[in-house]
Amino acid sequence: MRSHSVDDEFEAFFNAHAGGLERFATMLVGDPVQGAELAQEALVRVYARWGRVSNGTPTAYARTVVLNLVRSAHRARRVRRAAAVPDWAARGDADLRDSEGQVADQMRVVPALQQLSPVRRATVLLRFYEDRSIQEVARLLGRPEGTVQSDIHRALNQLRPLLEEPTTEGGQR
Amino acid sequence: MSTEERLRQELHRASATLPPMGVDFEATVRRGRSARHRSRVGTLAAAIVVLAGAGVATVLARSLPGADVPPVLDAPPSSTPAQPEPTPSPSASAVPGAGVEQVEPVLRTWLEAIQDGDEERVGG
Repeated sequence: MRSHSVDDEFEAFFNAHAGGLERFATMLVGDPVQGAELAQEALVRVYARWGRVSNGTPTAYARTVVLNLVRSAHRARRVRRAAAVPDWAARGDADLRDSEGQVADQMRVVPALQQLSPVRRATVLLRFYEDRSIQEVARLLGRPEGTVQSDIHRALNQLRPLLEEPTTEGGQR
Repeated sequence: MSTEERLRQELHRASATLPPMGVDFEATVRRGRSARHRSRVGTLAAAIVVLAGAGVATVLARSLPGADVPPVLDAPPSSTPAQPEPTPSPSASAVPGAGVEQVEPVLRTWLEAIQDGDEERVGG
């Protein structure tokens, strides 16, 4: 019976938040397939620890898992660049225009985001994509508000030239 | 238009061009059950290792030289001043003291970090 109630509770959570989590993960890595995989991995961990997680904020926990997975892959890429790591992690300063030329203009922001560190990327997405307050972003990422504000400030400084760059052929960098 | 507004707009436009693949609920629950089972088995195994380690440490501490020397009750009187009783070495006393209660929270944090995929906490 307990398992049934866990499944019911988790299903309600899944239906309400899986889509948002997947979009967050996809934007974080710039790849829908990897985004879905990351979201599922996070949801698997939420389910496995539902007893503990459900008393707090499972959405925050799930986002933290996604971010940690991305950070781990990011670190792995830095440590051993030549080794086989997921495409989205290996892409780093990716330029999706190579593979998706027709969406170049709209996708300009995705490769621009990839130039930020995973934590800063997540901060920018939570603040400007999910429209969350600084307090919420700080709570979700478990970071002080001042640090979040400073991250946003630095990320905007870093993104500004990329966002304002004219969309010419091969214009990145 | 401010950079913030431009970023907001571009993020939403980019999101529209990245179609969601969808996460399968059944597969998620199936993998979640399997992960929970593995986690329980891992926790149990870790607890057994810790308890066994603590037991071995205790046994070793008792078998250290000097640990079973009976106190001298009727020493013959002598003119030489009594030797000060040797203080137990910190390492010898720390072995049983550093047992379960100190190891357990560290181990628990470590296991949680593994489950969360947080390499920093695992490594740190």
